[in-house]
Amino acid sequence: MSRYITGRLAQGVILLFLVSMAIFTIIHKTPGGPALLNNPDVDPAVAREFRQALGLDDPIPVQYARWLKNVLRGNLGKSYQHSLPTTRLIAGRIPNTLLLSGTALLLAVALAIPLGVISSVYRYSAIDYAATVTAFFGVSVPIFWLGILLIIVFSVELGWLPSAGMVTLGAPFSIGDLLRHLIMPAAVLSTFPLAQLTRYTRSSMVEVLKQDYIRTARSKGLSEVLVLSRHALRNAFIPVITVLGVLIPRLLSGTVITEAIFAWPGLGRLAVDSAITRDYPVIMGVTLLVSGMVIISNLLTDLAYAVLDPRIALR
Amino acid sequence: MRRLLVFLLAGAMVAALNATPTALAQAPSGVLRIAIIGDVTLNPFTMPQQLPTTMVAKVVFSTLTRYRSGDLQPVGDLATSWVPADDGRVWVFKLKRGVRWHDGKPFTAADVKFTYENIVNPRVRALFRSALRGLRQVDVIDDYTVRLEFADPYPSLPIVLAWNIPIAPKHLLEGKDLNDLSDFAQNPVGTGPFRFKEAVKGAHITVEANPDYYGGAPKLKTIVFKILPEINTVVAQLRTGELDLAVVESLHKQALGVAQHLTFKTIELPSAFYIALNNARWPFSERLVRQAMMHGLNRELMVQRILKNDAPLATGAYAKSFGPFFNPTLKPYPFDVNRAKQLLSEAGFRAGPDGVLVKDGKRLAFELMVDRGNPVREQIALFVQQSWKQLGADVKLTAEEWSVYIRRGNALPADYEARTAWRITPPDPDKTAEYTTGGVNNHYAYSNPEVDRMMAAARQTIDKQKRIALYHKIQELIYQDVPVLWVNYQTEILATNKRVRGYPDLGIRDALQWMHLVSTE
Amino acid sequence: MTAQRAVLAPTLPLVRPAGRGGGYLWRRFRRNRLALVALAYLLLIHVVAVAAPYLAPHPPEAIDLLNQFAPRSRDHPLGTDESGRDIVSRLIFGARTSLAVGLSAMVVAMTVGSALGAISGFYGGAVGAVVMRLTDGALTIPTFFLALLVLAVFGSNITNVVLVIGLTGWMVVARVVRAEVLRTLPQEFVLASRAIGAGDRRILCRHVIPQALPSMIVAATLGVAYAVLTESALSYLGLGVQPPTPTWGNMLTGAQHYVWTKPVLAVYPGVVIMLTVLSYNALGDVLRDTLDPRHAGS
Repeated sequence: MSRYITGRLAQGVILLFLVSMAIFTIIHKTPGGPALLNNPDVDPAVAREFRQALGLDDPIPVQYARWLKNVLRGNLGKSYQHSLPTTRLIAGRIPNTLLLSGTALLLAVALAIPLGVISSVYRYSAIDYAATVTAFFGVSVPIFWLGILLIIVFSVELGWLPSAGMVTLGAPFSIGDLLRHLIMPAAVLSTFPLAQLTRYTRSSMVEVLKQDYIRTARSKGLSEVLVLSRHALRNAFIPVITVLGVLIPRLLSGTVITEAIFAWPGLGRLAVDSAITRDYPVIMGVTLLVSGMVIISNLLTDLAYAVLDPRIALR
Repeated sequence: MRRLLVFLLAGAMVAALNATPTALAQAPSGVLRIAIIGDVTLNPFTMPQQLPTTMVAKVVFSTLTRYRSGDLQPVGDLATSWVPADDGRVWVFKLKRGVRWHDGKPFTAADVKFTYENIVNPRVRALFRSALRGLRQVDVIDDYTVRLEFADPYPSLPIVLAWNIPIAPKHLLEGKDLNDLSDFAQNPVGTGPFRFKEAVKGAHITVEANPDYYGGAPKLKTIVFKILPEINTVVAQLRTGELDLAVVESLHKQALGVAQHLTFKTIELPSAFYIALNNARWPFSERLVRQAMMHGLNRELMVQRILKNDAPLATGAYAKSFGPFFNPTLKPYPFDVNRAKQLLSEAGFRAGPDGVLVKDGKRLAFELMVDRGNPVREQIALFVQQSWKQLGADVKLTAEEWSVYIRRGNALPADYEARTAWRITPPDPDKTAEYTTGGVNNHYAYSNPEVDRMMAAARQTIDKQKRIALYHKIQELIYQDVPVLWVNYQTEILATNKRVRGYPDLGIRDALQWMHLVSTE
Repeated sequence: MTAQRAVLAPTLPLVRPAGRGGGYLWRRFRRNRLALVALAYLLLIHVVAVAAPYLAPHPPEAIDLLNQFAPRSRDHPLGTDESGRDIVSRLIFGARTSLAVGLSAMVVAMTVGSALGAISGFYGGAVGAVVMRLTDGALTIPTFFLALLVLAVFGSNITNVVLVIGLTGWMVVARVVRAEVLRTLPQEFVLASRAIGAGDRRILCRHVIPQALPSMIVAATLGVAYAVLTESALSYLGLGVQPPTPTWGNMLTGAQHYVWTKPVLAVYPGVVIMLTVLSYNALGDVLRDTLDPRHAGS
């Protein structure tokens, strides 16, 4: 097991290396350059000096080597836009994004699993029908549209919920305030995972419930609840974990849009802003972070499999 | 039983969420909330010249002069009076006494000397180095008098100083690397009416009142600059009362019009919005073609329908806000499609097989570039494309991403054929940068030697009447050359909550220097 | 990845049971009402897209500043937008572009994915492993970044948008095809073919692909759904197909600015996107159920 993990981690590092090289090259070749240098009011001589000082006139491999050397020392450079060390900037945003996507994922899982199970047990019932149809809508709706619609209904028309930000400024911090700001973006973000998970849970449970060992369990006289929980769920979870693993990168891109619509101060917003302003150090920092997160979540998903299904051998 | 519990829980949650009062009722007194579109880095020398930084810097730092509401004349801020000598080559400024930095230390002429000398210091990447071009020497006559000597006469100096050159504290920054003031930027010290309190990246910047402000203690307690990059969010927050003040577009005016608690102000700026034509490239190197394009554009309709009459139609390069320098005899080019077609035919264009005009085997085909993401400008660009199509031109519309748009559009030589353009400028009639050969902002490659000559002369004339005469003539010449197609003079539409009192009639960049007079009820 | 691969492969019957030909497919299909509605809608929208120039009452790009935000009328069945352009015509032409982008992107994803998946499954060993690593690597790159950067470097025209969407969606296809290949190769009829001397190409074409086809069709259908949704998201961010060419996505970008004055402008394109994506998803699901009796009864 530990050999497997080390092996995977090593592969992950190589992957990160390759990804960082690719992104680094692309962004430095992208026309435009860092926003600060593009300001028409800046004296062109000043702009040129700045460029040189930032090392942007060196050939790309040289710049990359410099960046890599710094990264290995733990230095992600300083953001062009914010004059803050990149690590501090990113670290400040991470909790916000984790809060948002964590809540969204939690919502999705907490609602999808029961829904999926109920749907599979009471197949063709009204609940099943409703859940299936809703799930279909959930995977098909453009989330930025949904976000805007929710803002119109709940903020503008009804005035129940605030339309942007994480907390009300100027007011003392309260959990209620945070929750009121959190609920809409989390709901929007959870739509796709919720729908997808519901469908997968349902179909996977249906599969499992047809198996012989379920029939055996039932014929042994076990209560339905026990049958479901001890035998069915555990096996049904496997494809669900797969889907979760695939969903996480998708969740990350959904976060970008959601944070933009709701002005949520997180990583997604940072990613967009840094891409637009060509804030190279931040772009590279976020890339590393996100790719790293995807690699780790894939590893965790695979490990979860091994725990759940002894048939699956980790190579 | 379980179902009942679930219902109760749901009900309790909904009740809890609604227990906190809605924002509209909760406008904190003495706090002004303004929207900015991004994060801020407060280095007074190299500050990234983006609107958010400019805005916050204006309340934390002071400049020697600032603009007066109404006629945009420079009045004293840190300076009390100023006198030109030697035809405007030398300026002597008298400074206010008893001014203190936010950390309590006294402000003196030494700070001014320190700031200006470093701005022209080639080792400092100062944003406004060109504003103090030709500065030869700064002398401290006494603690409250400073003398500036330039290589050439600089009659516009007081106007330019009000634009955006904050004074920095010598006692804190001397000896530091002024290009990298990240520590200072996290905790800036200025002489402005508000002191920096805290900044939460990506969320807000809060400043609190400076009770020792030399212009009188501010009426507000705090100003919160909320970072809201999406204009839709800004509009939503204005509506719900979470935001007190923001610059919006005319299309939002309609959306917000129903809100009882908001009021709108339209402020004219001294800058023009225009369709820039690259005079160095075919087909716009010919004046006839440029004039034809101007006549073929129904700019009145654009102002009426796209800008919703929130901005005045432009005649030429100078806006009314320039006061006496504005040449009132010029009239906007009339919309006349026949005249336009006639001019094109005079220029040698004939109808081609596919309806597009052709001259010397070349089709009248070119690219119109607009920046992506602004609905008004995109609408304008679409309308312009359609209008020119009717003249027989094949116009390709490209909506470029901002970075690329700036790179292509502002480079010298520029990489575009036609594009939307504007330039926010101080009310300084000297437009050397924009309308002389080789001017740093002359990306459309306009070149008229007579204009160059007159612009240089006017720049160095201290006699006001002579200057007025010169600038009037300059406007006439530029008008006849029509290097770019002026559409409208820019205005700022400010949406404010009615609880805000005392906000001056100035564009937001300038108004922020008067925040000590603003209050909320 | 190993465990995931084992499970992600849709399970198909080892041998197609007798009597399950085209007729069976159609009968099962017919019984699922959602699928029928979805199919009908898709047919309609594709016909509309193809016949756009003949169906649209007005040119979609014709600006009429004197007629902005016009209410519904005989001349403009759904009214006009902020520049006076007819909404129905824009929806119709938008269908053309959005569907073209969606289908083309799917083709790109299928081509690249199938090729790589087949190579990986067929040749195994080092080659196969490398390709698999490539697939995994591609999945770790944050797609939004890639989209923004690629579209900024090479421009946001239709071709590039198609390529970007296709190149972010091929990985799933590769996995599916690889799993199919791995499942088919050890089977008896393949071994038999080899025994009589059939070459790689023959085996691939005559045996592997037909077995893989059903799951490829399912993947393709779902791929279109993903592509249409992604195109609209990219357009929302301003990266997709640029104006004045209408797509449903960029109609939404325009409409979001007028959400308080005329919210219905945002509703129309949003609804159409949703219905189209929904129909493709429904179709894909039904196909998957129909072609795999083990999933039957869902």
